[in-house]
Order: sequence, then structure tokens, then C-alpha cells
Amino acid sequence: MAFAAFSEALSLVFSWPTPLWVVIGLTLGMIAGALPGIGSSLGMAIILPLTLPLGPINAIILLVSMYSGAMYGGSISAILVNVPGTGGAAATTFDGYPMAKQGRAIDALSMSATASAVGGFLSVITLLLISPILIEAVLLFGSPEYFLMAILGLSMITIVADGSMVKGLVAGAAGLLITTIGIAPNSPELRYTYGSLGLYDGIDFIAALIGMFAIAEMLKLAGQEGGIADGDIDLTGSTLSGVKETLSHPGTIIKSGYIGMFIGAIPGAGATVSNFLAYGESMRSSDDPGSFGNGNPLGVISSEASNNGTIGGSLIPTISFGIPGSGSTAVLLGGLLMHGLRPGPQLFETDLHITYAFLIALLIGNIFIILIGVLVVTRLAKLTLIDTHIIIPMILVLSMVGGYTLRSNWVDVITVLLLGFFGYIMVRKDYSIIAFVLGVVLGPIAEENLMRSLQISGGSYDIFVTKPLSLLITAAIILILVGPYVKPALEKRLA
Amino acid sequence: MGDNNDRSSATRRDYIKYTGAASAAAMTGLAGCSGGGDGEYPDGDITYIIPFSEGGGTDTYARQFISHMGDELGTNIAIENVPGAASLRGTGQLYNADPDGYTIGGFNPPSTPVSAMVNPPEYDMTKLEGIGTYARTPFVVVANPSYEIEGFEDMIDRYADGELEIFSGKERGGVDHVLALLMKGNDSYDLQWDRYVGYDGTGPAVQATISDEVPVSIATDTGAAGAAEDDRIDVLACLSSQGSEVFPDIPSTTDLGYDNIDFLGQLVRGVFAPEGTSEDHIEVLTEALEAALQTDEVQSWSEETGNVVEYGGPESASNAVADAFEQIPEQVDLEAVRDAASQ
Amino acid sequence: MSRKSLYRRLSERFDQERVLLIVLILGSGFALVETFRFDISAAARFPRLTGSVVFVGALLIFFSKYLPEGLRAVVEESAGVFEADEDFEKRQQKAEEQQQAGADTAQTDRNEFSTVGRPIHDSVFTALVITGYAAVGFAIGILWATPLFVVAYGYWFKQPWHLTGVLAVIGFAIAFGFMSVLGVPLDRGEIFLTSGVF
Repeated sequence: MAFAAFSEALSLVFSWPTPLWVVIGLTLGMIAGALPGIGSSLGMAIILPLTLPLGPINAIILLVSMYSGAMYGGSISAILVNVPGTGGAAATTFDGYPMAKQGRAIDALSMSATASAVGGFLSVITLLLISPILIEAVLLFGSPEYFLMAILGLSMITIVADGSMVKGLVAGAAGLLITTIGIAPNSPELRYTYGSLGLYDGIDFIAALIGMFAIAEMLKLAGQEGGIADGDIDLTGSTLSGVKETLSHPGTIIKSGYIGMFIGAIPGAGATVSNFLAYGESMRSSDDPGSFGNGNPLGVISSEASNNGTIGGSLIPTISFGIPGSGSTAVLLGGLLMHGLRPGPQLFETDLHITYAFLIALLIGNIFIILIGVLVVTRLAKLTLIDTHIIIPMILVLSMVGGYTLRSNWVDVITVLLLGFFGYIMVRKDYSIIAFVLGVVLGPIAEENLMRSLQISGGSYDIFVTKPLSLLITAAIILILVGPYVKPALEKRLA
Repeated sequence: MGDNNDRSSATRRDYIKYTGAASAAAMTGLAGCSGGGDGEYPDGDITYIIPFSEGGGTDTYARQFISHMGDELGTNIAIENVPGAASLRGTGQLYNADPDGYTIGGFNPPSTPVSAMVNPPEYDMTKLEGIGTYARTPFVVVANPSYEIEGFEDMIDRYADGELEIFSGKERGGVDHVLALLMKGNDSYDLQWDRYVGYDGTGPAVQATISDEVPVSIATDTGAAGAAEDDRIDVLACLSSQGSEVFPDIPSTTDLGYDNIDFLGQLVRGVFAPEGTSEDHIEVLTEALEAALQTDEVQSWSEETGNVVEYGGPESASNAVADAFEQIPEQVDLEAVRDAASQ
Repeated sequence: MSRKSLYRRLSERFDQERVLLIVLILGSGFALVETFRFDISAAARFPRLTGSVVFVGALLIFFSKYLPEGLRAVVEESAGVFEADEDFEKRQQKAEEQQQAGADTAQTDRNEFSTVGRPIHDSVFTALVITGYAAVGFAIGILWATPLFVVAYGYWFKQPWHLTGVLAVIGFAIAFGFMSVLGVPLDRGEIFLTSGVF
């Protein structure tokens, strides 16, 4: 069955106009990535409503291509203006910006393109290869396990995110709580709707994503100085030597790519973490660690290979259990749900061809990254100089129009606004936005599976500990939530 | 409560066409010019309200035949998706539209009526005028093969013995759940399930039956087709007396001697107009619908995808709604639907 | 000047985190109380579960100052996974500082409150103008409200007129594009122009 789905997926990806969506997605992603303050999750969130008429396959391909493009695009502003366009490119600034100052901007940019493409390619190919195992694993999961996985994912995020764990938990639970507005899953009770049909289906999670990512970020950006940076970097250097130099360090690329993939597969830890780890590892294993931070190409290569490597890893929990590890995968999950694709067994059974199709699209996308990166990046570079007062109103228009477009429902516009204000305060005060957003996305899934589990068990909570698999996940959740507090106490006692 | 979710089957093979249909809809997208004028009807764009989101079963059907219906009428029909509130929101918008023949819409009794009976909206759906029906989607009962259930009667016996306890289908409070309650309370069926487990659509319910989270489930025939083909589920019976075109060899429950429950046992996909729409307009629309369903494109799409297309006149649409509102409260204790959901 | 200093004093007093917590406490408290009015008890389970976490958690943070030492540490400290070695951490810190210098001036500019010499904080103005955008959009349709919003934004932030004009046209085009491609009635308001223009 897998093979048939794979060949069906191949013919899908190569049938017009799908390749066009790959290129459009990559380009939009690179633009979003290159514009500091935008980044992949925001860019993807405002594009979501526009994918409505596309049909599931092209929509998802567009979104994953954006994700992939933004991972590379983030390095453009990291290298040229020392501000990473995405969190995943933060470590790229360490050596990318010094390289640019030394007149090797083009070298650094083409290194970043090559490393991104190879790292991304590796991780997606690996994901494709292990997908048969993944399918088997996913089929072991039933309703109780899905509920537990949702809680596990949320718990992980609270310990990875900035700020205290209690803040993270509050943010996550608040996200879950607002999804209880509207008709209850699996029972005809209307909650908190007060007779309004507009609230019958509750808060639209895509409106929540737009508010939390786009509005909140624009409010923040509005309070900053107009121009992002003065572009005093000359675009000099050599494309060819950049590509060559990158390819002469296959070890670094492979190692960094897999660090990215491994970290990405952990819910809650995305490219923001992996690029630092890969950079650190590359520095640790180097003969000349002192050169890092002063324009060592290996710094750029490791950081960039790892952030695109994260993609293959982060898709694992997203498509198998519906637990996104980062903002971008949360939006991707939103896209999947919006187009009627449910993470879990369906994506590996009836919809396996769709899963393969977007993985193949990602693979092809990596080739385009090199092409675009090498051929037109000098044009993209100009993006980093756009004034924020041009970006902000346009993003706000897209958010507002997109919010209303979702369901022609004013409730969505209000959601976009209120959650935008809410999100702005949360970002400033170290409450994890990702935890909140994840709560909003996971809420219906978590509740539905909780209710169903209890329907199966006839109301007994034993169902969450009786099977070995569910017991294991329950134990993991407890360990994560209690561990950080018990560990220091234990250490003290032992000492 | 989503669409009637034969999404995967409906979209599985027509994805390429889908984008085509969508862009065709885009060209007709500028709606709103609903003014009668003095000329012959129709003299301006018509809006077709779909109370479900893009890509669902109802939407997929509409995007196939609506443009042809427009061709027949010599005008544009713009599709407007107004999803939400278990299809009550879009249906309400249709109800409140001017009855000038320029706003029509589609929904699927008994699904939308059941939602209205469980959580009553502020309008009376039975007042809508039927234009016609374009398809019929029967429900079937499917089982996990490992139980080796020998047909529908054997299943009933096993529930009576207590060997099987869990029965399933779509969400509680939806058609499947009401159907399950009907069969439980009805003397002719006397289906003694103990617990009803609801899933978010036919796809997940079938999936859960395959993975043996539940032994038996209600499914739409198109939704069960893929899994039945691979023998991952057994199809026990069809709940519509008219049988299923997807499973022509499967007996209907009426064949087996049980009561006719067609008012619940099949989805009737209908097209409706607001109360007070003139009969002349309805006649024009009905003819256009019938002709649109006959076009080669619609017929070949139907054959390719297995989405059955079947024309029925205005009365078959109106009757399906009326039957649902008359028979369901009579035969199922609707308060019990809410109570049962509390378990 | 007095109005300005009043605003300044208000904005200093106004602790955003407190407001956030109060909203969370009241909201979750209300949600919890309401669950007792549900007919179907199963539907109350999840809101109670999540509502309790929000309610208790937000209360703990709100009163963290008054908590006993041990509990307070639990509430305020970060869990700190992915702890890397010191050398690396320094570098990360440096990077974050650099980033912050470029990106997060929002923290420091609070008292200067506007980069364009306007009397209220830029973020506050942006919040107000998009609220107005939504309100006008509700009244006359988002399509028509869009250029008005862009012009208001450009005027406030003292953007050159020709630029604002171009952006207003682009904004209108975006809205028009959504309307025609997706068939959304953006030209219809709920108060005026209720039957649309196109």
C-alpha cells in the first residue's frame, strides 16, 4: 500500500500546477524569513486563509514549502544585518555577519543556501525512509493515547519555553480553555455561546494563530525604531566558492542536519534550540574553536544545516500525533486541520498519498533553495532594508481580511484582535505564546479524545494507565512536570 | 460536527479537478448583484449557500454540478460557503434571504434537521421550499472482521448476549447517534448496545473499527468503501431500504425484515429556497438542476469517483425534511439524546 | 504638558502583567462557575480541568510575592532544560543581547513612548487604530475600511504621502483580491452598504 501511495504522490507532485506551489511557497517563505520581525510562523499564519480554495494537497505543499523557505530566508538578514529573521537563524549571525563585514557576504549567503538545502534534504529523506516504522507506531495509538500525547506535548513546551513553568502551564491551559467555547465535541451541549450562532463553533484556531503571531508581533514592532538596520554591507564575494566550501565539509552538514532533526522531533524544541546546539557541537569538535565568532564558515554551515534539518524531525510529532513542536508546525497543523486532514492514522492510511506528496515536495524544494539562493538572493537581500512602517500596515490588513475570510464571521475578527493584544502582553512578560497557541490547536483534539476514552471505558479513568503504552506516556508526563522540582531536591539529599 | 464527511472518498480522486472547479467558482465569485429586474428569471447572479466548509462532501458535489446548473440558467451561480453550527448557520442565512429566487442553498436531511432538533435554532427549517435532490448517501453498519460477525442479525444477537457492548459512529447528538438510539429503542431492531462512542466523522469511526477500538460502527457507504475493498472491515447491512449503489450485494435492513427507517437511514442531499420563493422560479431551478445532473461532465465525475448522482424532484427534498421533523421526535426520545450524551 | 505627564504616569502605573493575570483569573473563574449550568455533565469535564489550572496558576503568579520561599521558587523559576556548557551559554547570551539591542527596544522605549513624537505610545496607537479598523470594517465592510486604515496609520507615523497612497491602493487590492478569489463578501457592512457594492 505504501508503494502505491508513494507513486501516486509522485505523480501528484509533478502534475501542474503543484510544482508552481512549491516555488511560490519557497519564495514567500524566504521573503517572510528575510524580513526580520516576520519569520515563518507569522508568514504562514497570514497565508493560511488564502489556501482555502486550493484543496488539501496544494495547500499543504504551499505551507511546508514556506516553512522550508523561511528556514533558509532567516539567514539572509542574519548575515546581512546581524538580525536573524527567524529564531532558527540566531546562531548564523555569529559568523555570518562577520563574514559579510569581511566582504564575503555572497559566500556566506550561498553557504547558507547550500547547507540549508543539504540539511533539509537529509532529514526529509530520513523521514521518508523511517515512515513505514512510523506508520506501525501510529497505529498503536488509540483515543486514550492521543489525549495523553496532547498533554505530553503541552508539558514539554512548558519546560522548554522561556519563563517559569507555571507561566507556561497557565498559558497552555488558557489556550485549551478558550477552545471549550462553542458546541462540545461529542455531545450536543452549547458552552458559553449565550444563543449566538456565531459562537456555536467557538473560537477559530486560525484566527487565534493570526492574532497571536501577526497582531501581537506587529504591535511589538510598531514600538521600535522605523528602519530595521542601515544596510552598509556590500554584496561582495563569490557564489561558487561558497557552494564549494560548504560541500567540502560533509561531516559538519550531516552532523548538524541530524542534530536538527533529532531536536525537531522533540515537541517544544524547534530550530531555535537546534541551531545553537549544532553550532556548539561544531565549535566543540573544531581544531580552532577561537575562530568561531570571527567569520568561520563552519559556524554558518552548522547553524543553517541544522535549522533546515529540524523540518524533517518536527514533522514527526506533527503528523503522527498532532503535536507541533514550534510555532511554524502549529500553523502547519492548523492548515492540515483546516483542510480536513487529521494527524494520526489517517495521514498514514487513507491519506498516505498526501503525506508522501508533501514530503516529496519538500525534497524538491531543497533543490530550489539552492537555485533561488544562488541566483536571486541578491534581490531578496533588499528586503532586509524595508521600513517597518511599510510592513506593519500591510501585515495588519492581511490579518484582518484573512481573519474575516475564514468563516465570514465577525467573531473571528474579534478573536484576531483580542488575542493579538493578549499575545503582545504575553510576549513581553515571558508567557509562552507557543504553549498558548498549542493549547488552542490541541484543545479540541485533547477534549474529544478524553471524552471518547471515557465513553469507551464507561467513565473510568483507569483507561489512561491500563495499557502499557498509555501507562508509559502518563509516567512521562508526570516526570516532565515534577522532574525539574524533584531533581534539585534529590541531588541535595544525595550530596 | 463537521460535514457528512465522505471527504476522503469525495476528494481522493478529484483533487486535480478540484482546483479547476475552485478557480471556476472564483470567476463567478463576485456575488451580491441580486436584483430581479423586469426581464425573464433569472436576470442576474444567483448565490448558492453551502452550510459546510470548502472541501467537504457537500461542497465537492456542489462544485461539480452548480456551474452546469448556471449554464442551464444562462447565468452565474456563485457558491458561498457559510460553514458552522452543524450547518445551522448557513441554513439560517438561507432561511433569512429574500425569496426572490436569487439565493438558494443546499443541505442534507436528516443531518441538518437532527442538529436543529437537538439544539433548536430561531427559525423553522420545514418552511424552506424544496427545489430538488441530487444524491442519496445511505448509511451502513460495519464491523471489525476479527469478531467474525455473520450478518446484521448475528450482530444484534451478540449485543443481546452482552458479548458486544460498544456501538459507535459520528458524534453524539448527530445523525449516527440518533440512528443508534432509534435502533436501540425500536422493538423491531432491539439493538442492545451498552455504550455509544462518537467519532469526529465517518473516516475516524471506520479507522477506530479497523484498529478494534470499537467493534462496530455506523458509516456512510462511500466512507466505508475503501476499507471494505481491502477487507479491513465487514459491511453488515445497509440502513436504507433503497440499498447502496456502492455495496449492491449488501442487504438492507428492510430486506432482512426490520422496520423501514429511511427518514434516518440515508442522507438526502437537497437544494432548497427560502420560504415564499415563487413556484415559477422553483420550476425553472428544478429543471436546471435535473439537466445539470445529466451533463456528461457530472456523469463521468460520478462514475470516476463513486459519488452517486441521483435526481429527485422538489417534493423529495421537502419530504425528506418534513419526514425527519415528523418521525424522529415520534420514534426517538430527543431528550434522551442529550441525556445519553451525558454518560 | 500636563496631559502628557498624566499619560506617562498612568502608563507607568499600568502593569500589563497584572491586567493579564486579572483577565485570566476572572475569565477562568467565570468559566468554572458556568460549567455548573451545563445540562450535560460530560461537557463540563474539560473546561473544569483546564479552567482550574488557569485559575490556580494565575492566582499563584499574582500573589507570588506573598508565597513562602519554596513555593515561590517553584512559581517563578524557569525549568531550564537544554542547559549547555558555560562557554556556549555566554555566546548565546551575547547573541541574545545583540538581538535584543536590534529587535527589542520595546522594553526600553516605554518611557519615550513614541518614535515619531506623538503623544501616545506607538504600540498603543497601533492597537487603537486596528480596533478602529475592525469597527469601521464592521460598519461599512472591510474592503472600504482598509484604505482608511492605511491612511490613518501612515498619517500618524508621518510617512510620506505618496508612499501612504501607494500602500492604501495595495491594501485595497489585497482586500479586493480576497473578495474575488475567495468569494467573501468584504464589500458588505453590517450597518451601511449591507447589500454590498460589487
